[in-house]
Amino acid sequence: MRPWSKRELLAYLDRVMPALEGLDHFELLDVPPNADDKTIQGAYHNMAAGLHPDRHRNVLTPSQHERLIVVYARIAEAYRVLRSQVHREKYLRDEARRRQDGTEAPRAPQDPASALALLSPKAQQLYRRAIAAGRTGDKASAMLNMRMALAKHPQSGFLQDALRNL
Amino acid sequence: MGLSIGIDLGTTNSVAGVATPEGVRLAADSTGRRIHASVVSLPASGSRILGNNAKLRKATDPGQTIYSAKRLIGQNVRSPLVQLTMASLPYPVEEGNNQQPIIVVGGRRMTVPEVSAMVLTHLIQLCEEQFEDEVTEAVITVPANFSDSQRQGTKEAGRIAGLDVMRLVNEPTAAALAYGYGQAMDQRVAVFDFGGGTFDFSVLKIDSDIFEVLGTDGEFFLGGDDIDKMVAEFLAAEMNRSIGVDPRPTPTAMNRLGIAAEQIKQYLTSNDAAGGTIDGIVVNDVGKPMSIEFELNRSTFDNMIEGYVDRTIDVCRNVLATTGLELGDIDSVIMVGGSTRIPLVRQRLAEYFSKEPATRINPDEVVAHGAAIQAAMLAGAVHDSDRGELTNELAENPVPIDLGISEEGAPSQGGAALLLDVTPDTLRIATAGGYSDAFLEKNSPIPIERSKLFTTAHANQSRVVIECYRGPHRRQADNELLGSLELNDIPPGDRGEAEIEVTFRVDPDSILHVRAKDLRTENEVEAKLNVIGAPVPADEQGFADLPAGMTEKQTAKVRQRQEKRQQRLAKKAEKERAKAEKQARKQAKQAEKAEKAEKAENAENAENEGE
Ligand SMILES: Nc1ncnc2c1ncn2[C@@H]1O[C@H](COP(=O)(O)OP(=O)(O)OP(=O)(O)O)[C@@H](O)[C@H]1O
Ligand SMILES: [Mg+2]
Repeated sequence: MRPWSKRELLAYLDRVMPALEGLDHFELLDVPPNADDKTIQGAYHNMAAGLHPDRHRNVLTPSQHERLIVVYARIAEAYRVLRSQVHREKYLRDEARRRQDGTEAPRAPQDPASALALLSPKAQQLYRRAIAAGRTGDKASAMLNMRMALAKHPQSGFLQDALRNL
Repeated sequence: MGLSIGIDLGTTNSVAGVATPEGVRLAADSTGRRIHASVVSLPASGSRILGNNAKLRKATDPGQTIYSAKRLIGQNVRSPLVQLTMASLPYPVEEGNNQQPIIVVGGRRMTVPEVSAMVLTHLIQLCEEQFEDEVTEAVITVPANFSDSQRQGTKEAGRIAGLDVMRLVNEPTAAALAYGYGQAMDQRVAVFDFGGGTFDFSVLKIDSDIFEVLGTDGEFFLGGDDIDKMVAEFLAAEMNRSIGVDPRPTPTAMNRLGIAAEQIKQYLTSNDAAGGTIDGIVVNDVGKPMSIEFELNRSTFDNMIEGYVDRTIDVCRNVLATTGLELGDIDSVIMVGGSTRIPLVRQRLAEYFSKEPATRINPDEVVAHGAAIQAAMLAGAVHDSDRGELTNELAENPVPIDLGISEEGAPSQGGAALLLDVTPDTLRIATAGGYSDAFLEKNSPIPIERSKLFTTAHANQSRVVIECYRGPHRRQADNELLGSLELNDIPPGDRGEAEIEVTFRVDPDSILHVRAKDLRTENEVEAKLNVIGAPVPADEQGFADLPAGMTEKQTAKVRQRQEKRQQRLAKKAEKERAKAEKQARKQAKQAEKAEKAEKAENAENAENEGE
């Protein structure tokens, strides 16, 4: 398994960095949703072999290297969740709940926005703006912001429901 | 160009070396020994004696001879285990600022990293003499279960010695690297590292050039030092019984007994019984030195240490349980550390795994071998920018690894290996009611980053304190407090209205960084946790305090190394700044573009709204 070339690496970073918040764990690790343990471990090893920061220490500038570590750290997090039956099931449950229950996703007092957390920061911001506008009765602005959030995550059942309930 | 060396900075012994195309070479002292006592002796004359020469002075100059400093590094002096260790050390330890231990010798007050830096300086000097080049950077190994503050303390020691510490690598991981490097293995290996101060156990999957740690655990205060103490207690009791003098309240007497105890312990490794006379432990009322006779056979010794050995096997069992592995899944068992020479340890280990441990490796040197290989890989990891092939020196001139007795005969050939390590403990965040939430569980892959959302517990709460713990327990108080972070100026609102994103990031050295962000105000605070007991590092840009008790020549040397390090850092920073400026200009342009695009999008959406 060879490390990626600098060109491959930079292209990958440019592609992934802006989308980082929107990618789910399966996308980050590049595995199908039904991947078994072996596939997941294999995928992680593949990713590591190609882009692990240690393999590119002297090729990248320090700031490029920092970005690489950020992306790699997220891939590691995806691996942490998907390789464990327990974490993976919880993650899938959270995702499913987000799609089904929409706005009324249970909000534990300590963890108010488990559904929101899965959206990109931009989408979260737009969502919050929409809700705030809805409260003040500015329906047009609420709809606009919610639509813009939805544009970032067209598949999000949570946002679709939120839009419907405005 | 400078050397990139690997250093096994042990509690009792240290080893350093460099990976060359001819294999790993370890630095030897003037007597040809490659294993150097981690001891520093600072006699009143003002000179400084290091390594194996200093070890000889443990008995003759106990008050000024510092050993086992690793047991104190990055520790809170007030913790009970540290208090216990301090009680048995013949040199005085006091409390310094931030509750860090301060070692006091001949009126000089030194931090523990300063002392460790002296040990490092000795190793650096040996490397420079032998490999005829300047040492600039290093990989230093640490026990896998080292905490944040212990890791920071070790890095600080490197910095004081004028080193660029490229990476802290966990000792068992380094051992596995040395064992499997270039062997094209597909194996699950267990590393059992029983040294002078700590016990570590790790299970790794070696998949040709990838070394993935599956699980790790250990005990920090469990090693040969503890066995010595136990044998010394036995000797003290024996003395009290036979001549009616109890040496236990006299630290210098216990120190001498400890030195004898280590010799007896080692003798029992290759003999069934030890016996004889120990002279001059105490003096009687009229100042006459008293000696004691003792006899200790192997089975009595085994009974004495059985509890310790049980604890090591318990750790193995835990690691297998948490990683979901069966005993039969382990292909090889690697023994590391001097204490694995004890026959009972070997026997229990072989019984537990139903497997003879691998003998291909030298348990004293294997960690340094791994560190040297990793140092060469980190230093030389450059590749052809177009084809992505390694032009790494190591890929072209693979390091043949020959670790003592070779099973397979021919030395192996290696390419670029990759270490994938894990967190040694669960990292937690305090929640309401004295409880805590697991943020990243033990054995999480590193480097890793995870964010979670939290909120306020009361209405109009303007400030949250995020406390971070390490440990397996739900109750906060049962875990070790790592440090805390404060987020202020939260705008007023109902309970639960604030949205605070907390991010845990564990860096490649396994050091935790925490940041918290108020999503509504975009206020953000970031911190390396301010850990109690950790050395308070001098200003990064400034020079570190020089270790006390050096000759002028030595001082000049270290000063020179520190200066060069500063220059390298400055150069790097300058380059980076220029790059960043360029980047910022580019980004500003892009942002402008994006804003225009968004405005256009808004306008379009608004139009649609109107329809
Ligand atoms: N033949 C032997 N029999 C028993 N114990 C031994 C033998 N040889 C060495 N030891 C013990 O091994 C310990 C030192 O081991 P080692 O050098 O691996 O530790 P270290 O690397 O300094 O410590 P650590 O890794 O815990 O920081 C000492 O306690 C020493 O007494
Ligand atoms: Mg060791």
